[in-house]
Amino acid sequence: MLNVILSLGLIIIIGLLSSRIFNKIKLPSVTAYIVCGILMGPYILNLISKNVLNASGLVSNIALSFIAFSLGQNFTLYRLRRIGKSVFAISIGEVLGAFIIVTLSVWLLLGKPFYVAIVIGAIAPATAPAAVVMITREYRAKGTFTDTLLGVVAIDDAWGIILFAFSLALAKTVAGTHGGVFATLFPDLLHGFMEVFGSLFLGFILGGIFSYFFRFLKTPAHLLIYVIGFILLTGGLSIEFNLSVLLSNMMLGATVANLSKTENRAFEILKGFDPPIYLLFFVLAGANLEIANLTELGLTGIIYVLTRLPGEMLGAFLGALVSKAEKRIKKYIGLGLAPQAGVAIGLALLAKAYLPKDAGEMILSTIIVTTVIYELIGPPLVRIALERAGEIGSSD
Amino acid sequence: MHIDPILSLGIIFISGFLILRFINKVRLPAITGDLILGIIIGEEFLNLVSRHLLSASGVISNIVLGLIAFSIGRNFLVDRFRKIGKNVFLISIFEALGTWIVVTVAFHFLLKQPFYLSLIFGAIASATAPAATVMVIREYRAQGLFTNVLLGVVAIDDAWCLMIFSLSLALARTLALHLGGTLLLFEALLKGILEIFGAIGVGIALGFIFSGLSTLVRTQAGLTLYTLGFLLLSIGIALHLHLSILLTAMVLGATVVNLLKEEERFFASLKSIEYPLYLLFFVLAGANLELVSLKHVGILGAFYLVTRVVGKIIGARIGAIISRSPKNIQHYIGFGLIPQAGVALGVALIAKANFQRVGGLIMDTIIGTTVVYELVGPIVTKWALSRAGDIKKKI
Repeated sequence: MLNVILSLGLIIIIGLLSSRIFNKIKLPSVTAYIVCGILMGPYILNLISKNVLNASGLVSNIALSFIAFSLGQNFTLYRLRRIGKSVFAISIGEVLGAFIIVTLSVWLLLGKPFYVAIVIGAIAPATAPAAVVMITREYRAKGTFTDTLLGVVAIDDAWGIILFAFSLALAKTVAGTHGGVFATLFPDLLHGFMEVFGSLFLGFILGGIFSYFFRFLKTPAHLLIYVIGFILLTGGLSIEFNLSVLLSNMMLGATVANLSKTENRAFEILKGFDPPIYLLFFVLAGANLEIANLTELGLTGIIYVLTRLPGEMLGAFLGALVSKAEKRIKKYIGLGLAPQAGVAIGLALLAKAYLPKDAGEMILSTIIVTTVIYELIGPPLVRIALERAGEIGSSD
Repeated sequence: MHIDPILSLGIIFISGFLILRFINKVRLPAITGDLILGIIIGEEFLNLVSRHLLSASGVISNIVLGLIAFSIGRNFLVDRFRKIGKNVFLISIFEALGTWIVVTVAFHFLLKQPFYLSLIFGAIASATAPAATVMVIREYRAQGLFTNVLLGVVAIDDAWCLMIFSLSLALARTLALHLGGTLLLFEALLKGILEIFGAIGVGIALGFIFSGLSTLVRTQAGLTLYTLGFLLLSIGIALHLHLSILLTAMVLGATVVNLLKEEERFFASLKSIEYPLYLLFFVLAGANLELVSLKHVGILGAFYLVTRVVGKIIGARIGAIISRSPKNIQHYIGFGLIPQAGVALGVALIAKANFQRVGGLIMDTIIGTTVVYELVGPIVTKWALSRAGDIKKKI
């Protein structure tokens, strides 16, 4: 068996070289990393040490914390004034669109029980902010479309949490595992709101502390340690209090961006540090994909894959229409929301814990398989969306 | 109590930052601050270091040692090395041998310890801790001939230490357990030589591949990934083949610096990764220090502390005189070699595995003395650098 460090070295070098090859055929590096992960993972070459695989959860929480922090940068008051309305409308439209269409299809077309359909539907709107951020960075995408897209993937997580809490509570009641509607619906929904507001509050407080002491920083080395420390502290506290790592760190980033005059330095300095974390994150995501189950993609899975993206696109389109966004945003923003990854699996795991055994397992195995598909086709679709919207700079 | 590993990391970085601000005021090297912080938040006091992190200390310390050796290798441009190569070579051989001999002789004749045990202590004593030395040099921006020689010595001294140790181990086993005889000694010597050449071979081979493929790298992020990836490969292969990590990574760095014209970009790309890793490394080192073990140090430990320093200073001085090094090197180079840390503990562990009966005694002594060397060593190194005139301005 390979030792941890050798395994890490191979992951980085092979990931890097294959991203060069993928770039030649116009596929984003994220896809290269995920494919590398699948190939090097336990099902095929088995080149990743057990200890590294076991650290997947840790790596993914750290990577998501860094991603969310840099996403928060987009929420300066100045920008919000410009695109806030569209971001708000599009994200709500996208979340409701995917939710309603997937729920109805699974319920009415497949004749699954309503409580199963509503939970699967509530998982559908979850997007993968990490993939979207990495692609906009790789292709140096810039402009209103990019800003709006980043805004949407950032806050749709908040709507997603509330919607999922609501659906799960409803499902539990209908499935009869718990008492009446009000016995479970109200506390669960409250719990969802608490998670969202708790995360935002934590990020805001730590962001305030961050900005207050920011002026004592002198050298780049100090700054780097300081920024990393705050991001990890926020991530760690979120985990400790069962809050959303994504929302709290996003709020941290947004607060820092608004309060510190030299905010840019705090975000720029991370660019020298984070590439290995992101590469490792995507390779491990690929290695953890259960490709062996791909053949078990049942009817539910097929319907989910076929209806999720159209639902997102339709919802996002309506949101863009209502908020009077530009034409290219109306047309392509939904496509940029295609990637789905770990967040969806996390939700499915939660569903499994609370629903009757059969239903829970069916949902989890469906989502595990559909994630393989969306994780692979999502990133190239984001690239296409950015390209069509005319916001890809010179690549490389 | 189970603290979340990410929260624990956050606490380490934030408090590391705070202690950095404080320690600069009292004019101590930053790593002394990190070590003290590690002790404070370690298991014996606040217990804020996650168990997951503690168990990853080995991996982190191997990566950091590799990073350090890689950056030392960068100093070995062929024409520069021609100038100081002889000094580095002779000083490192003599300081390693000197320590070995002085400690062994003192333990055997003055303390009346069995010869095989004295031999083991002597061999462990020859190890130094390059990380501490390099960090002090960087922090005070030390520059000059003295600094360059010191960097070279702490890097290749690992190779001699490994040889001395495998020889001593073989000899001790022959004496104590009546195994093998000359054949075993010969085998150990051969193995030691093979390990050194293996490390050099792996480092050069990877260095050539590194240079050959380097045109594939286009972006800043790519640069970081490429350099880090090759460095991790070299460390990983060295571990896999039981070679010296320090030597392998150093030869990789030296090969790259001599083959590539724009090597600066590659080395600089690791800067941002280094700072947090070093901080983490030293804080974890502090958290792993077992202060309680100081109680067990006793006469043996005190003797080890003193004789090792004497051996280093005398040996290095003889090497410096023979290689006709400048006066400041002759006087102070030995003082730069005082820190001792992880390498010594690793070697002591091997000794323990081989000699069950005295294993506990060896471990207790080395763990206890490491606490002292880790805390005092960097301060002495700083003193040596400024006496040698290589620290120009006060920061």
